[in-house]
Amino acid sequence: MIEIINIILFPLALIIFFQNHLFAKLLKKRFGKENSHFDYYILNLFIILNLILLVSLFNFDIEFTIIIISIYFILVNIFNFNFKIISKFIFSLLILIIIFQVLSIYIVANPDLGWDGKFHWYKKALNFYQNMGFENLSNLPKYEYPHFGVYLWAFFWSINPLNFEYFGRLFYLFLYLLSIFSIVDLLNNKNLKLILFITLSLITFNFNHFTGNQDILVFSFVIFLSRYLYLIYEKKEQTLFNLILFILINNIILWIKYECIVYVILSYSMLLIYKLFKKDYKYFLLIFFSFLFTLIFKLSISQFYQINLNASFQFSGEYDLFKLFDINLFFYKFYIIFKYYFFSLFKNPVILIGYISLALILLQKIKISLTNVFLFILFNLSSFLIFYIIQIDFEWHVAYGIDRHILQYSGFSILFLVVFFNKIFKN
Amino acid sequence: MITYLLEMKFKNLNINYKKPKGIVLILFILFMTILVSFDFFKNVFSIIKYNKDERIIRNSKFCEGDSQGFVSYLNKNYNFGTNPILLNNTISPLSDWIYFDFKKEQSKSELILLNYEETQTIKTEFKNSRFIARKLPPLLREIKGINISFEDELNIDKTFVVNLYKVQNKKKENLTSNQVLLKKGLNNKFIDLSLNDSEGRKLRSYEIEIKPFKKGMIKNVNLIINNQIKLSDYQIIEKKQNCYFLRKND
Repeated sequence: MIEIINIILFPLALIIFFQNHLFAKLLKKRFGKENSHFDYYILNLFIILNLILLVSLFNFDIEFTIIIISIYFILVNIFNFNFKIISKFIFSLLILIIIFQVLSIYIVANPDLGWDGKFHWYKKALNFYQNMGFENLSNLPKYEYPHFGVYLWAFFWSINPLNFEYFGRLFYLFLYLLSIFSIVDLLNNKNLKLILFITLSLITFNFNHFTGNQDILVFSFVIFLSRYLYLIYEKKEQTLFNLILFILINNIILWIKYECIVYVILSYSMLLIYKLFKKDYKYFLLIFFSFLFTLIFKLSISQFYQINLNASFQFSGEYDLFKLFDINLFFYKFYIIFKYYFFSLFKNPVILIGYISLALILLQKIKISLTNVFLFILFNLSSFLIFYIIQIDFEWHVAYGIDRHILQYSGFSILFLVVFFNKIFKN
Repeated sequence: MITYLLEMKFKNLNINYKKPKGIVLILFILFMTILVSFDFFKNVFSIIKYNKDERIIRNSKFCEGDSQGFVSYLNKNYNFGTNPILLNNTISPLSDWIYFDFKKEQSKSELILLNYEETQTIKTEFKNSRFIARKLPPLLREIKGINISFEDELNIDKTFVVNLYKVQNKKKENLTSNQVLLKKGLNNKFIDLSLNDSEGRKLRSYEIEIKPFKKGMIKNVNLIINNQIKLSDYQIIEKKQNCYFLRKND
């Protein structure tokens, strides 16, 4: 019974935890009425996540991280807490909480982990939960993988009174639902927002995504990113606020999984090229230096903690670089990757909906930013690149890995559904 | 309260909000459908009735696959002062996460062995005139031999060439080639190889080629293998089916 009570209180605690009434006040003065309270909520969410990331890199105990975040929460909310902000979104919050409860009960009733969850993700989370530090990660499998996803798992594992590991995974569920909410929030038709939120969150939910794998985290963060890419490219709102969110979200994505560096490079590159093409140099230097800093920071930390960035399952011993340029092998690999990619599309309703929406947009000649379309195509091509370089047990890795890889960026395609519906269902 | 909120919300839909009962009923049915499709009531019952550890093993077999039932049983009944080494002789997820603790040292003497037999018979599947053995145990140490069964007794003495290939990462390696004389009246032959082959990728397979090959002549071909751990080197503290908790003999 105590578990049920904790599960009921958990989303309420998270919603209050990520409130920031000081920002809401200050940013409203700075940015005026351009941004909704939901934007300020997301901003605070990513400030806290970046703060947790920063503290985690100092190798402090997780209890210290909890103290730092608690101090931050008290400082920004004391004297500023205002229930009016929550009451404005009470109906939406209620729906989110109900959906969260239904799905979290499902996960908690079946708390077993997935294959990779048992193989290495759980132990990495345990590593941080037991304050073993970065050094101990090199004793675990897949040591080259970034740590932040499991650090969040350990953080929410530690912070709950029952100290059950699944609360870390329930935080992944919270981010998943919030990210879907963030993208459907862009719909002009208010009634459609909740209907689409409920539909998307229920039809795309897959229990296996919450069994310890990090791909669902990448999925959620890519959706958050797509919200701001929509505002930047579709609505042409290249405000400082949106760019700050762009930078903060990319910085978090980079620290979740090994292959996320590709998404970060692609999203920054597209933005920089777009700005150059449009001859819009406002905030160009900010974006450029943020890009450099994000990558250099990641490499520096890896160097400092002596984390070998070579993928342990491929680049140990047998790797032959010349085989990458073998033309016969190229066609064979392309065929295998395309075959499994095609079958995976039917296992992922999100990307299928995205492709259908994109097709309808093009057929109906609805105006859409080509930058977003190019970025989506490049994300898909990244699957080919990432699997192409695999040499050891190539077909096995493609067959069992491509589903999860497509999941990571599939959330981006919900943007096309939003564009389509905004055209069809005008307010 | 909910009716009030719904009324305020649906004003914008231009629905006659004077009749919220119908809308509330539809929403209630939809809501109940969602709850039932996600097994909400069954899951709530499960959470209340079973504790977390019981729920973890409910969907696992006791001593099959990841054998979480057995590992959980050991964790409950034996106070592990160290982290025992866990070896599973099937390709399954590791279950040591159930008891693993970084604050404890890795045990040098305690071993949990899952789905283990010292000597195993691996069945082959017939494909393209060859007999292929897949899904090999990870703890394979030695290919003891090949057992060939014929459909009928041989009516004359016959000589066969039996080739054994190891296939991994799309490369085929001939491990051994044996000329075997089968006497008249035999319907079964064991070919002793005693071939040490503990090194190799988990996804490797073995192919057995028998020449001359005649369709319908051979009933089945099995690979007899020996696994790495000799149970006689250990004291068996607990044994359930093919799962063992062992302590190394001093």
